[in-house]
Amino acid sequence: MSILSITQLSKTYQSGSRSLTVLEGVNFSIEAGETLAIVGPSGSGKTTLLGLCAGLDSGTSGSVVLNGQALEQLNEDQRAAVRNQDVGFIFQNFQLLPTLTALENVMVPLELKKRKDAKEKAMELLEKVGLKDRATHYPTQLSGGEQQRVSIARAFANAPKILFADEPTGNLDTETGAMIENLIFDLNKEQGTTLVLVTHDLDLAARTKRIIHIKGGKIQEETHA
Amino acid sequence: MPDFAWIFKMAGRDFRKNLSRLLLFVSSIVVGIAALVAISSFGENLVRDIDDQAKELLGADLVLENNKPLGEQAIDSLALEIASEVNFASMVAFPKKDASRLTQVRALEGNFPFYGKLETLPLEGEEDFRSGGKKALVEKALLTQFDAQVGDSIKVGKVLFEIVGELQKVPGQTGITASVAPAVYIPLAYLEETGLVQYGSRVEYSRYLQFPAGTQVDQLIKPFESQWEVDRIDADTVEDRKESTGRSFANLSNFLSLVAFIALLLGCVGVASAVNVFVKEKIASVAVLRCLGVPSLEVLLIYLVEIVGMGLVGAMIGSIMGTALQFVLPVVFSDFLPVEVSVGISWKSIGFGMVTGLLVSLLFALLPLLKVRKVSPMATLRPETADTTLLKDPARWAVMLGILLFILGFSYYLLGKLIWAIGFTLFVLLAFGMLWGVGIAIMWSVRKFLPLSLSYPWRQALSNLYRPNNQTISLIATIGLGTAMISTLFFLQNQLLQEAKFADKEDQPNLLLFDIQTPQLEAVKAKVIAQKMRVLQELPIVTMQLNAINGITKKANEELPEEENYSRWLYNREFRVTYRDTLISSEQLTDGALIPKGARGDSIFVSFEKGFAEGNGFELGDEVEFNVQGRPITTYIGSLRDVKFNQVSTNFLVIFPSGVLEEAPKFHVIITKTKDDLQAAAVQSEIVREFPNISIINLGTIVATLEEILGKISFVIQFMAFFSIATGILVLISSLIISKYQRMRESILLRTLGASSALVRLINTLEYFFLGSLASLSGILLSFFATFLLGKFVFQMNFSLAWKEGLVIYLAITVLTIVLGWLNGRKIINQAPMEILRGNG
Repeated sequence: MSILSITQLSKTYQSGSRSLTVLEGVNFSIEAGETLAIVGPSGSGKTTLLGLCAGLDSGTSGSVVLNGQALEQLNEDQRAAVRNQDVGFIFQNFQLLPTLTALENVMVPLELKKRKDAKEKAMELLEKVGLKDRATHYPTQLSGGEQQRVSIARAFANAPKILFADEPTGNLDTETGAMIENLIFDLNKEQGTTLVLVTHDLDLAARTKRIIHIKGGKIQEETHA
Repeated sequence: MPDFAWIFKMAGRDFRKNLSRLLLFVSSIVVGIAALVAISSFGENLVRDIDDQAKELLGADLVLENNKPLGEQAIDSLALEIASEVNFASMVAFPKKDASRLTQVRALEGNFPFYGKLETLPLEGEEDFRSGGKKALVEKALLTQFDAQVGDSIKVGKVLFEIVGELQKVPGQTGITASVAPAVYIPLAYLEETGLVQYGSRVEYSRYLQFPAGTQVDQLIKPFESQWEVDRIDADTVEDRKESTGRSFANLSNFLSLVAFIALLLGCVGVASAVNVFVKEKIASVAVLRCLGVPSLEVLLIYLVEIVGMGLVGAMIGSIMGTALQFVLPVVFSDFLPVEVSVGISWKSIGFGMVTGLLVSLLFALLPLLKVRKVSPMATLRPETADTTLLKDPARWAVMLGILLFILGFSYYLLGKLIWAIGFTLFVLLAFGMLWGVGIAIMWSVRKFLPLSLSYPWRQALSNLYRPNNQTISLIATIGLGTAMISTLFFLQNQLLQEAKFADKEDQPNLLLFDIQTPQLEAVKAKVIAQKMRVLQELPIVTMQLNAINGITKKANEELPEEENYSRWLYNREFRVTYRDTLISSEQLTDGALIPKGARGDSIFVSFEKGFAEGNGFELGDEVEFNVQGRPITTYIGSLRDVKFNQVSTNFLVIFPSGVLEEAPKFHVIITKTKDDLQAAAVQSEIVREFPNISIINLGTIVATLEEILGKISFVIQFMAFFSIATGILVLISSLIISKYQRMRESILLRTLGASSALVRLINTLEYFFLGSLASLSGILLSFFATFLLGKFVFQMNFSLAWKEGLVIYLAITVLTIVLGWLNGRKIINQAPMEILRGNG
């Protein structure tokens, strides 16, 4: 069964009197448990596509059905609830809350789900990513790689059905990036999560089962591992 | 339903890393809250003390007053003790100094005050005075002015008294009263011997009565009131005095609370501006929270709880400061207080401060905070999509309406009248609006017209005024309004004094002699001429009272509904009128004409002063019956005059035509001009020596007294306006600290590009110079406008541009801004450029 289904999705931005079409007539679907990479050059629309798939924004036309819910029919707060229940995120620039410790950052999705064991579960996840000893440190006290590991722990905290990652190794050196990649894929395999990855790194993309090539806002081709 | 437990948890987590920043935000409101709580506490304590000390205020249980001798009163038999006083203005002379001055002479008989005492130095002075003999108690201000002391002599009329005590305090009197009319107490037994009470003297006869303890005086006097009404006797009880004094000070307290409220509003502008910067810095975090699934309302509540929590802390700090500050207020207001003021914690005032602080934090922080509702989670991927414009957001308009209603409600609570509250709210909106408009206009102009030919440091400094997250406009508003308040006061005070001094021109009189009896007139004129002075005006004055207006007598007037009756005061007051058929230089006819006697049959047409007529419901053609020493005279209002009361001249509310009052008992006034103080002192000494009943006012004395009074009043208002300036300074400091890191990054970047420390310092100095200049100039311009309006519509005087004073204020504020900027930024310049490569800038 498709966990994510995109149908004729388009996105146009208005800037004054000018309009800019970033995505045009995109169609694809992903089965539960699949791994998919979206690759394309800078400005191809891949990040916008990722955001629309995750319900961070709504398309100008077309449809996004995530875990059986048509996102275009939901208001922003309803989409937020879907994100909390079913979605995990990993960002290129980590996007940790600077005023929360590593542990608290991981706890947030669990607290939103009103989990009583939020702290214990968060600690477990930090241990899995090798940062148990850094639980009380703030993001500014962590290196880039450590911040991304916290971000990964947070992304998996609410046992998402689908994980979206936007250039997860984009801000990291090669060695650290490789470590992060392994972590993402290991955890993903362990939890059986569907993974959608945006990257310009073809080696990283090759680790997924499917690769969608996007250029100029349109899908050019689709390849399989 | 929002999960408040989680919201508070998240607010607490965010708060711990933002503590110092949020403390800065709320520092802006601390001063305003402190001022409010201080004034409110002080006002409450004062009203309570007036209540407690009301008997001491009056000095008796009942005071009867009239401008005629009171005679025996039926109530006298009910009193335990009675004292009498005759009170009038007169010249007194200090023979040792050969100097004289107009004072308030109080001829006393009996043990008044029955409650409280005449505080004297030495302490036994009062007892000595009461022991009998030609002894006087003289108010401290008078002794100081003439460098006299206890043991010296003072001549009151024809009698020489020994000064046995320096009066420190008289029941119910304030320091201001002492400035205007310092008192000299003499025994009533010698009043006749002084020869001062003559026809035309403005004398007040008072009788003080003490009743047995527990007497309900207000009930006791009821049977006598109607007769007192007829006899025009004023009766004042402790309750009456308590009410009127309490009301006056409640009004003063409310006025000062409004001034404090303005300081608070300035602080709120600072809060809103600082929260605006705070919100912009939080956009990224807000986007992450939205991404993680936090509903927009909960995101808003997280930060609102934080900020309102700090608002509560600020309100608490302000309330504590205000409670401490009230200890200073009795000193500040000492010249205006009729009672000893106790100070103590007023929980009601503290509660008032806390609630106000909480409300203003909530309202003013909410305005910029509303933006977080509009932050898209997409901003985590694309920061440029964090569009937070709110122009069409109805919630924003709702909050602005809430702010407006709060200002209206608060001012209504203080002022008690909706129209005044609306007026005050409009004033606040206008003042802030003008400064805001000026700020926006300046920023727009700088952006649009910044010339490239300007050297780089100047261009950079000007550009910094509109750097992202700048607080230029809020600084112009806060410092500008504080400057405007103090400047307006300063300019107005100067202008009032200039008006008074202006009268001292070649063709303007500056010496007024009055209470001249008819037999003395020629001799006095001769003395004036002998001193080589001209008699510029010589006027007869006849005293009379009003019997009826359009046939309505005093009694009939009492029975009319309030909206139809004339003021009771008109029927009770003594009119002093003159007679002539021409106008003098300080008058201008506005309606009707001066109609001489006989011009229209037997009717007598009088001329009323326009303001007095309009204020009391008189119109042209009204019939007014006067009682001239027992003889009724029917007159008609034939004209209205506009009178300039600010000139040294005899100005009259009512003028009769010639040929009507010539035979009536009268006294005279002579106006003349002295060329200097020496001549004034000489003629004054000579006349007072020979005619001690004649009173003399010279312009120099008026100006000196006015200066003293204005000085005291302005000190109080400047003290209050200081809160606005202090708030403006705190907002400035807060703004400088908030922008510190941004400035640091800019400084490091410039230095990486090759700029010297001196250049960076110059740019920063120029930026502070522009900020201070814009803020102070905006405030000064606003104050010129306010001074012009007040001069035109309230004081009726011409506006003159006090550019020298304006320059001083401009320089002071600008230099202060530069100094604060330097103090804050001294570490910025010294940061190593290497920091930028480490990303630590």
